[in-house]
Amino acid sequence: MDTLTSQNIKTQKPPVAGSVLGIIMVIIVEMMFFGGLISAFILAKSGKVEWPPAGQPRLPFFITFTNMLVLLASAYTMLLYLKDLSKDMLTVKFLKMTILLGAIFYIVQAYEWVRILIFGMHTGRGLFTSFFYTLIALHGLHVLIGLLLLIWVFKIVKNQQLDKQQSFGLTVGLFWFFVVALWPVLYYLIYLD
Amino acid sequence: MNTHKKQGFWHRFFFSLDHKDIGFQYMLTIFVMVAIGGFFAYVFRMHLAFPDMKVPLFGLVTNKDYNMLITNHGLIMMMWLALGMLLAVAGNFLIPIMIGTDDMAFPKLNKISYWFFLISVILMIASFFMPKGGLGGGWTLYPPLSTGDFGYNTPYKGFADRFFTANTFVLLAIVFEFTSLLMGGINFFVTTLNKRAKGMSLFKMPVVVWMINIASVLFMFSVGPLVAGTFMLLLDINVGTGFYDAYRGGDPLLWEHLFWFFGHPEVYVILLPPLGILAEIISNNSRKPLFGYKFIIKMTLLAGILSMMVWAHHQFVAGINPKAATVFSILTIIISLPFAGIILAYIATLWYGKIRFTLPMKWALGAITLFTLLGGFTGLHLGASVFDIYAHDTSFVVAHFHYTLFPTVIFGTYAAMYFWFNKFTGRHLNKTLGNIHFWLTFIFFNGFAFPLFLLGLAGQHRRIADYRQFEFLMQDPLPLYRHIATISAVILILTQFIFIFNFFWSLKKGKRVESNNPWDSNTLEWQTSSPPPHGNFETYPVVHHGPYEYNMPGKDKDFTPQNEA
Repeated sequence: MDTLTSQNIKTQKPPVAGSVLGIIMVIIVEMMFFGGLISAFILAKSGKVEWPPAGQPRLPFFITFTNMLVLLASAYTMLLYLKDLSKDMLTVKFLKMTILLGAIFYIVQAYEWVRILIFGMHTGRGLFTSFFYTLIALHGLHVLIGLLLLIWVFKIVKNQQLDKQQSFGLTVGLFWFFVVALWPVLYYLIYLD
Repeated sequence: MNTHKKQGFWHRFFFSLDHKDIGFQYMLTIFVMVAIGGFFAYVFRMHLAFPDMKVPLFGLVTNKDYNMLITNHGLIMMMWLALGMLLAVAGNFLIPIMIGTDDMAFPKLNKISYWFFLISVILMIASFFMPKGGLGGGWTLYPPLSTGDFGYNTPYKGFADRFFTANTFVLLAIVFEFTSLLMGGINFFVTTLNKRAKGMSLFKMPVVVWMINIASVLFMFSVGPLVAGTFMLLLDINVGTGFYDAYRGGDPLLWEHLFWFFGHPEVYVILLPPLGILAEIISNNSRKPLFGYKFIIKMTLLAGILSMMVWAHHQFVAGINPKAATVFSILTIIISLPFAGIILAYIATLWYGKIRFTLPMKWALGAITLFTLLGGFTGLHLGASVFDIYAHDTSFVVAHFHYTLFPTVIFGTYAAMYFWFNKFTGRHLNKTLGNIHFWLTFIFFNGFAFPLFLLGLAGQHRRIADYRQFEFLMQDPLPLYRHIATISAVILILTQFIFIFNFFWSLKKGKRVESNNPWDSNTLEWQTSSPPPHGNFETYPVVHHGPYEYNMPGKDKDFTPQNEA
């Protein structure tokens, strides 16, 4: 009978890395979290005759749309980075590009937000602004967390073995995909619909 | 890993990464919370039976005090005792060792989850001492009650004024606690999938591991909307967004939906781990294989899915569409079927078993009896909207609720404690004290909760502090029922001190275990030393058998350890 000791129990490799499973669970929770917010938003909208209410500043449709394309491009570079990783290639070129595109999205978004604030769209003036700021701020927070994670991966991967790199990269990549995929939904609901 | 040197107190209780130590930290923290929640229950029960009385250790209970006591009793018992004890404590103690591994998949995350839990406890306790007193909006936190003095339309008075209120602190505590439980749940799930011992296939895992994992996943699927709702409520209070403010176009009913979308799956999150604990204890003490292992798992999964579709049965009187109410009634009654199936499987396990009436078995049988006969059955009635509308705001609901939660949470926890205490400490709990504890708890729990059914049917309102304006509530025999309920509740609370004494006394002075496997059990935790070393096993087990192979033909003993070749 073969016995397992504390040494070789560590070397058993699971089919899916623990951190990847963990981030999938986190994404499920996040989806339900935003699901709750978005359904509240849709319900609030559906009861109103005029939406968005009169007297609100016009939202910047076009800049935000361009910005959305930037964010989607960052998901594509992330994909390329993960593809390289799965082929055991250690390039950080695409990771750098992802961080750059994400940062551009974030800065433009923050700039737009400040501009809208200056135009006089405050919370406390009704549901529209409340939902607008809550949803945008929460998504912004997630982008920020995603960017920090990406930078963390960028710093940490160089000193790790390849399999660690792959699971780290995939973990953060999945979170980034979630953050990116969320934005078109929010864009449609807030800016267009 | 097996060089387990003795750890100092500080190290063990503040910095240890071992799952058993973290489980112990959770347990002690929860003991503190239960003491507070129990004390609150004592005060308002005394007030209900004897209005205008100066309650010993508290004083006169004003209406405001009453609201605060009942709110915080509910919050503490639901969020910190039930969820904490059955997810965090049970999961931490049992999962790694039962699946035959050394620790959680992410020990550091586990430690962080405990720290978050501790922060939530501190925030919760701090909320009692806010300048305007504790929160009195009901444990369901319905706005506008839960927005407190910042009723909508009050002018914005500055951030500190709004932040340092019980409302903000309680909501923050809830967010912290759920974050903690989420980290724990992710840990349980990943540990179970990735770190099982060699040969431990999914259907060789003990049912309790299944149940805690299903409960964790259910928790993850349901908690998001509540956290979103809590976030919106925090913004309403602190920033003045008005999501729940009808005057500004918001909808107070929205909170009820978000809350109960979590709230109903939550009761199954609470129910499943004790059901798993009962499966272990009943099979072990009937010396028979568990009846319908896969059937139980399937029924649990079915119940988990259904539980996401029944939440509005909490809102039958909140003004929801009567047609929707009918749908929710039907779904609610359907959800009792899987649970009836599970309970029947347990009873079938008892059938023709060689039953040993050990202490954990007594708690387990007590739990099944009370939960099924009175908790589950009255739930069927309340699930039908026609009856619910009559009984909803009466103490009938309180009795139903306590008959479902008390047998599962409290009896289930005690069953687990009397079963596994000797494994994790190496000493037995005292049996005589245990028996006294069981019988007194069983009798006085019924003495406390059963009169509430009768009171509720007679029209005793469950939310008001002073009912004396209703003359029909002052006629015989209703005062007698209230006195029985209150005196029983007080004795019930006092009885728990027997356990607390037993627990801490046995920890130091209890009888040492003679063998590692005093219950002749199959599962892996009994195949290592008591208490298990840091890392759980000297050599890691290889699993060859299912968890419930008792009295198998052709064996010289009536149990077959899972790792026996």
